[in-house]
Amino acid sequence: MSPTAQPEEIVEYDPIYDPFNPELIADPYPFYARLRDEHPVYYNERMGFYVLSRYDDIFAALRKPQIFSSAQGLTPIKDEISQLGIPPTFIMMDPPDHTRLRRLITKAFTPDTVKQLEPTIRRFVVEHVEAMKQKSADGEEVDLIAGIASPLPTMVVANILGVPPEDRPKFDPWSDAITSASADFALDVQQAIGAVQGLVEYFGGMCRARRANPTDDMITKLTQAEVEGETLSDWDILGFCFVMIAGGNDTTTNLIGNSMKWLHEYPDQHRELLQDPALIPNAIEELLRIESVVQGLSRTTTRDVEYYGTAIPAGSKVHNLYASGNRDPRHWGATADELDIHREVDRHLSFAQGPHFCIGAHVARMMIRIYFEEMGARVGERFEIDWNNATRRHSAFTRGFTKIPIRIRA
Amino acid sequence: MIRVRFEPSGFEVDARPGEAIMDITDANPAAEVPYSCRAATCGTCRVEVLEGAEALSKPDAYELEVLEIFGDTPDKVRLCCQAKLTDAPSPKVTLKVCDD
Repeated sequence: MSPTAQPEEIVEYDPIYDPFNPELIADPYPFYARLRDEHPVYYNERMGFYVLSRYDDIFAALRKPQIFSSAQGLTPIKDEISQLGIPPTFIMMDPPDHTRLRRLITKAFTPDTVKQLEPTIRRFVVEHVEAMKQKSADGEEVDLIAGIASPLPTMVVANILGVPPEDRPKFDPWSDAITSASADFALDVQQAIGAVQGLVEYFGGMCRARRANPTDDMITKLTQAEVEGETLSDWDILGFCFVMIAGGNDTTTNLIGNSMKWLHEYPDQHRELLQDPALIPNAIEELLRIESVVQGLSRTTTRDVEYYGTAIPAGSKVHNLYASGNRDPRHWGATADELDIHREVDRHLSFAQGPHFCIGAHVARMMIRIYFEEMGARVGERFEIDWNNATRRHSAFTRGFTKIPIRIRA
Repeated sequence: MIRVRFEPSGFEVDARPGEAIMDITDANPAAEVPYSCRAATCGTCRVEVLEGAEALSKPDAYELEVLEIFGDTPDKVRLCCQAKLTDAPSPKVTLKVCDD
């Protein structure tokens, strides 16, 4: 444990917005509504960062990387990059450097590659749904997260990177540790550093293996790629692996868990979705909007800016609350807090906006579409979820579940 | 019909005025154009227009904003998710996936 970590110390959280406040982590939306109405630009003195919470302000900020830079990291925490000891990643860069590096992995996300993934994903989902049904029929306890929501994105990310199936279970603890920063950041940092070390060791070995024996996976392609005439070092490639695992793994897991919770709250809409699978793509956009898995990410100002009479000096961290913007009635109307799978969802913030828009968004959409299609066809309404014993993820920056007990009837 | 060619894949296809470039690339994965947002925000599908710029619809404010981020000029670079073929007479449109 770090010498600075003192779990017994009582932290005085900022009452208006503090990402580590357990009350806010339990239910952030009343905090977000107050921010939007009373403090559309807010300064958290305890941690020294600004917060934007209205849709229009966040939308515009994310699309101006020349003013709102990603180069100082993506959380409101100062010096996060040096604290975590992570390799350089293109998500913590601005154009044109960001553009050059992001371009190297876009080949993994062309229509052709995504199309090729579809049968693999469908086979995997069918196998896992059937396995959950069988376990339930055998009277065993079934957890929707462990049964499908977690292994599905792990398989897809591993498949894209070229990780053999037997090594895939290593991913989840790494991504959990990296993305689960909660109330005790110092302690979480220690766990995250451990996860980063594990990741570095594993993928360092993979880089060496692929340089010696190339295959057709993404890591091989990265070992062969050149940026301005220079090949990437293993450390550079580790940055890509870090992004893929931290960004692609538990995000889809959380999306599945959150979606099931919302459809439980709106059973008529769930029934409608089961009866008409053509509604699934639009429903996915609405489910992405109503509960943003990534609650928000930060940028750093490159020059002085002003919002609502408040000056934000150059060099300030500005936290953009995607989840708040997605519920802003100024943009979405009076029903912003309600689920409506027929809503015309134009440009929600859950995948961000601007050049850092989630590179794997279409893969995530495909995963959850196939999940809904196969769960609908094979399980339909024949299931019950024990929401009283479901466990929410305790995280300052992401929202989802770590356990959802489900019973599937024959 | 307008002949549309994609570089560096070298894939060519005939398309009708009014068709969106992204519909063409969706239907023809061999064109090998990467994409992500499909909504004029990320710039993943930026292409250099090597010929036939006049046969493409004019960029809207969202697209212009994205092109500005990347330092592109709209007569030379377009977003596949936004550009559509028009009925302007042009025998061929050639689009090259941007390197950076």
